[in-house]
Amino acid sequence: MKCYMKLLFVTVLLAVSAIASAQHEQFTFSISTGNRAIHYDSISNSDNPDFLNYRYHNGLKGNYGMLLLEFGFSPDSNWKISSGFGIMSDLALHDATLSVSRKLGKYHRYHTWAIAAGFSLYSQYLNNYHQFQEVHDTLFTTFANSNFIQMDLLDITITAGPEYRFKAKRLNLEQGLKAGIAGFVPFYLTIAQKKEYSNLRREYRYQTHFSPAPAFISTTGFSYNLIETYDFKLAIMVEAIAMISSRTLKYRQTLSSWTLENALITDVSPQKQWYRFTELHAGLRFKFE
Amino acid sequence: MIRKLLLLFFVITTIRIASSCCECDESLSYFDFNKLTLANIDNTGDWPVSTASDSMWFEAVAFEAALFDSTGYYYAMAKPSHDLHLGFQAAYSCKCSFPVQSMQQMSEINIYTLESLNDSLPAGANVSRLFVAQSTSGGSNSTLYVSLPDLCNSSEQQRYYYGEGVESFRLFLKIPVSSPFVRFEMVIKLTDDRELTSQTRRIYIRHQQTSPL
Repeated sequence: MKCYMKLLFVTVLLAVSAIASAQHEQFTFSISTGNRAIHYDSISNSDNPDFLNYRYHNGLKGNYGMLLLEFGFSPDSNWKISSGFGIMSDLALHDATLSVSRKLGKYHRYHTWAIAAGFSLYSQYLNNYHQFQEVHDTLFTTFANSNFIQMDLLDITITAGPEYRFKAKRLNLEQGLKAGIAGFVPFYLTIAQKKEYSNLRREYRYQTHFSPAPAFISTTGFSYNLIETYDFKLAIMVEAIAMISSRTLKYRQTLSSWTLENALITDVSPQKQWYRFTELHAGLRFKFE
Repeated sequence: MIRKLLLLFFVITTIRIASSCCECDESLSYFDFNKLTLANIDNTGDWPVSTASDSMWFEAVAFEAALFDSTGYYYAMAKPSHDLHLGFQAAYSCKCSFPVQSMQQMSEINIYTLESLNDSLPAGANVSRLFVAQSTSGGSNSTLYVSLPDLCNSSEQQRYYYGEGVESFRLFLKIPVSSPFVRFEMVIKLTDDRELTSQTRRIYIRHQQTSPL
């Protein structure tokens, strides 16, 4: 985890140094809505649950409607820093993104290359994860804290890679390809059970691990300036993000029967599966120079 | 005239507010645990509930123990409260919490079977290690039980409030019972070396499990 924090620190440092050397500033604000789909090649649970099988999904995909807000700052024509957050249907903040990019090579009128590094945190729902015990332990009544039958599963990605930008009159295109690591933020949960017609009670306690995995992200952005003045631009924008990664969610399972003593501890590492994240959102971008 | 009347109402209301304030004596009253009772529990469902029935399932033998002062806690209420009456009768009584604290805690719990539980546990055997406990006062994040020594260790000298001065906990037998009936005696040793004893009623064991309607 320290390694990822260092990468985040470097990203923030780059952002701060860019702000400090501000010359010709440019601010952007964009508001967009869209859809996020998360697909995981789910396989049947074995002897232990795979929490990724309990992600919110309809069929194989989890679909989320999103409202995204993004703030951008360019201290000069080379640097671009943006941060944003996303709101899901519960109107709570779920996503956070931070990215820094710097132009590479000589100035060209239409196209430029840049190197970008970014950090993002997005969430998805984990639903009814106690169903595994309900199905497997038929002699037991399973209790999950009703306040936590649905919880947020947070995914952190830290990536870096090249970006290609094309600009012609009012049209702007951006294509980025980044590689990095992704990992689920660890969480802890307890599932309690009681055997029917018996005094036997037991508890499963799960402590998940960060489980980092290589991740590849492709971003494609399109914007068209509807209004252009000397110091203000209003554009429509469409952005698509795709991530692919082979993921698992490792955890430690502690099973205690009767009392907390003499618990049975098992480290579980479900088989890795392909995990695909796609997002398409469209909206308006305001640019102030 | 109206202003004078309003002023008069203001003064009366102020005095009534003042008279409704009271200062409770929060000093502790002390009591002794001198009584132990045991009641039957139906633990066939999700959560244990008290029952008057003397039959239990062979894997669900459970009791609730209550430790308290049989003389009641009325002495705690004998302390005078310091009401500010100012010549007016208070509109409502001064509600004080009357904290009480036991002079002793549990130091050891022993349970003996008065009937043969199975071939290896004849009548008279100490079966304490076969029981686990659960405090009724809550405060635990876990639904699991604790061992009897752990229950004793956790029974700190706590402050109760009037109407609450009962140390109660539930006892659950871990092993299935093969005999047709059971009966237990419980002996609780207190930190002042006194022992409180109580017996359960004779419990008839149900072995055939049928689906509830």
